[in-house]
Amino acid sequence: MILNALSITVVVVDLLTVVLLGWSGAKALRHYFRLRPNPAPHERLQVEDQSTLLFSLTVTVLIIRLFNWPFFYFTLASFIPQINGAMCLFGVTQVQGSLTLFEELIKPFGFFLIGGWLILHRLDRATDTGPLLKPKLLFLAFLSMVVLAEGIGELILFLSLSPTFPVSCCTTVTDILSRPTSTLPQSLLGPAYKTLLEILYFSLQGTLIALCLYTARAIKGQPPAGRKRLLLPGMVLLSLFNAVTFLLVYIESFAPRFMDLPFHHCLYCLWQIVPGSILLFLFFILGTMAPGWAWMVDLLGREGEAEALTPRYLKALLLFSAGSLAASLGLTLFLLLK
Amino acid sequence: MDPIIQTTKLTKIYHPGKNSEVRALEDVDLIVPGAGLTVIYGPSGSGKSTLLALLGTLERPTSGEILLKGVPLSRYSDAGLSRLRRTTMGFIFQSFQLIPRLSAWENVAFPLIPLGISLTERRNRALRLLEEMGVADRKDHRPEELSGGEQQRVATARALVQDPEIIIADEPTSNIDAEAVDQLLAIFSRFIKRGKTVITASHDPLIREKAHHLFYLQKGRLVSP
Repeated sequence: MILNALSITVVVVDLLTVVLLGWSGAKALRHYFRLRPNPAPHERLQVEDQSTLLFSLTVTVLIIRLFNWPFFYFTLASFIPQINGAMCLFGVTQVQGSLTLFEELIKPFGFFLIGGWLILHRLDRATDTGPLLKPKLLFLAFLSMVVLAEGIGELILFLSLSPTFPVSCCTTVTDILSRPTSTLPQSLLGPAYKTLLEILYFSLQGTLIALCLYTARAIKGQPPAGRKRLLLPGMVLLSLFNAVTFLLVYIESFAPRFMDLPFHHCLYCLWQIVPGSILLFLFFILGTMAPGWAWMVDLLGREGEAEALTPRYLKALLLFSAGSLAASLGLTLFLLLK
Repeated sequence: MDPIIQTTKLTKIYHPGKNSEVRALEDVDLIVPGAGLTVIYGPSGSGKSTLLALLGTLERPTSGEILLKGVPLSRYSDAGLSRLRRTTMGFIFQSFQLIPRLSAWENVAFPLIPLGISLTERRNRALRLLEEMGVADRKDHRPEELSGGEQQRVATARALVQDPEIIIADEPTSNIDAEAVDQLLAIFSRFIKRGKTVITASHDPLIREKAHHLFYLQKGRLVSP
């Protein structure tokens, strides 16, 4: 283990959250199966008494885990001077390659689930009768498993990271001609793939922002119905496609331009050399996930009294998505024109 | 028209130990038809405070139902009940339960914080009520610097500050002198004239004399006195 203030903090937070989320996940599942559709007052009282503590604890732990994602990268960045051959985050990610890749993939998923659960919890608390108690408990049990896997993986990663492991510089992977981020779009879009990727990126951003604004406007006190209900899953699919395009266009085109290094494509280096890009990525992530959260609210929030509140939440989430994507786009344009 | 509060077969059982149980209330059917002073009386340990805690939604019954204007409270979640208490009910406790670190006006204004009311408005409302209660000159004093009667009036002002529908008062006169009891009854009377409800547990014969609805509890059951 590489010892510094950040790594110790991460390990302690992981240990605590793994224990607490393990407990809350098991409790949530137990309560879910114990709670009948129309429970007697004393049954509901028992579950509520325990779920008040459960939810207060869970909300605290989950908010900490939300911040854990960027903190993970800050911690890895703090190891760069200790790892032999590492010049940016890329080098550190090579020490425990597969485990780091697992963490990099599961963390966004965990972040998405946590955000969704917290929004559902807030929606449920805004009602008088708490109709989302059961879906919330089941969702929490699943979410706990994902975050547990993430936390345990992170613990193993940080405890097993060794400074003696020699790694290569990012250029040996990100700047070679046969890099997948270049070959894949080239085979699909041809030699002018960079320009086409840029056009695709700007079009997709514009379309998503317009769709969010249109859907938010179309929600007038009623959740979307009929064909309009397909807008949300449609936006989620478009957001996923947009995320892939975003990564490709950044690696292939924008990152080298922002760094003034025309032959260098490493995003980790971009964050290091142009720290403002971290904010841009954050806005993009929030803007991309918000339609997913809106869809989640639409799917799970249509229970009893909560149904009347869902339009307000959907509208707020879609406007938040449009705002975040616009901010990310604005920062991209600012850095391009600078 | 639905009564303001109605209970059916209301039962509360506590389990202080593993194998012991205390049946604090059993099958209580009570109707508070509308505005007025409702007094619940009975010997110590008869379940008066438990009944008030249940009517005030501070606790949930073991079985039975409470209907508030015809709406069953068992449907409400914890968050829903908190919101209901914040907007519909004011509480006066036997030992006042004022927050020691806050001044009189801050104590009165405290229930308005979760309602999102601005500081200026909170302060104005609190001072207006303290003026009405005749303790405006003590507004900046902490509870320990106030007499029993003054603390009682501050606690009453706090119960009234969000203009609730119902005031729940548990033995509100047990720690004050006869003059303060008269003042409290005058405040209750003004509140009731505005179509509101006061539900109180009290041994005080002065309070019982003024009651519009009277209930006698014995060993957790409602009986004829």
